[in-house]
Amino acid sequence: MHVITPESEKFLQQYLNNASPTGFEASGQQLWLKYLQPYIDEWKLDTYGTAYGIINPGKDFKVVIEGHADEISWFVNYITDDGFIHVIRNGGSDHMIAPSMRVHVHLRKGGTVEGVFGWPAIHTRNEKESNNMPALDNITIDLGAKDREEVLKMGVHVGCVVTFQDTFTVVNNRYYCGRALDNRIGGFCVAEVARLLKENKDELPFTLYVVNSVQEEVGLRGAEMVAETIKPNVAIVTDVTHDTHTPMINMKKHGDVRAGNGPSVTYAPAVHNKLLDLIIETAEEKSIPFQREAASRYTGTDTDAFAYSGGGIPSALISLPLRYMHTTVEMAHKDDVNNLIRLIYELLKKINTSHDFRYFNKL
Amino acid sequence: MLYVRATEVQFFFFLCLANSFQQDFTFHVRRLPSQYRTVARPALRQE
Ligand SMILES: [Zn+2]
Repeated sequence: MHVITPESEKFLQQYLNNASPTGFEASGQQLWLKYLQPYIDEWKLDTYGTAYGIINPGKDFKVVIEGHADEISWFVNYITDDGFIHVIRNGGSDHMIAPSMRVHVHLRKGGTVEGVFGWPAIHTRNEKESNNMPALDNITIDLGAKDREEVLKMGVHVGCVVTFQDTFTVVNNRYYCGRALDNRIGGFCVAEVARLLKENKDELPFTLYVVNSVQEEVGLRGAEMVAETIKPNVAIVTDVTHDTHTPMINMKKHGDVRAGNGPSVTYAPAVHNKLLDLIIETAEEKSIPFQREAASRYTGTDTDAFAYSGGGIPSALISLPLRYMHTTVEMAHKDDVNNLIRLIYELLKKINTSHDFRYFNKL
Repeated sequence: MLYVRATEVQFFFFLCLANSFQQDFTFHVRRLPSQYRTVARPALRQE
């Protein structure tokens, strides 16, 4: 069953094509809030940029559904006398894919400068030298400037943030494909849940917070902040996970998840077992396909931030299988996106305010 | 999804281990999501 409409898909495209680097998510948050606004009662923005819509405000019991708004990027870190730019990571950006990519260098005053990650020609590389593989210290951006002076004149300086130029496409009418679906697609999904609630005139017994957190890619920071602000009773987090069925991935190590087989639920100490049971019950009742994966010390998602905040918030993670994470061609199966939205939507209708999340209450 | 380099994870384990013997282990356990803070800003170990 498909719940995504052509209009919502148009928003997804616009939202993904807008750059939203970690720490600089404001323009993306504006787009997201504009889309969300008709489906919520009010919205808020915290000081570091985490945005959230509130549905049915004022109730004691508070439920969060959350994705993260930021995308991995680079920082300009050093400009050589010849005008080449060395970068550092802003989040888990991948040096292996940088050579030959077109980039936008974002300027403080707004606007961008176009550039490329250059790479020596196959003819000129010495394959025996150890320096012939892309690494953080040998990838450089070329803005076509003749020297450092000219780079500075363009408005580019140390601290400017850099994103790849790649944009949204649909592959084989089956996969959404593009840069940083991780995890703007999560923000899209929770907004779609809000749309469904509004369109179906569902009444919830609790206050629902539809949250788009900043700064996940540098350590779950936005979620850490907003968890303390909202102090929810329940948090349902959505992020991406690895489709492990593409070449060169060891399933024995990384689990067995396949794009197209449904959203994936995670078993982990941070994931609340009773909430997870409720998710699985929901999926089974509504015949929504799902997959399972396991994580131990951390899930690597905002689930950890919510779970371990405020004395322990019952939290769960519903993930979207993704191919080629942290590249510019991340791919998510349309069916999985639809089913993930449905699963969160149906789950919300099953949560009641009298849930006792303690694992036992008598001896 | 968060990416943490293997060396950072190892470093964190080392810190955790060192802390468990030396000082306030519960602080680190209780605040697991903040583990990366220990890596990024070692000064916080003095908290
Ligand atoms: Zn990520």
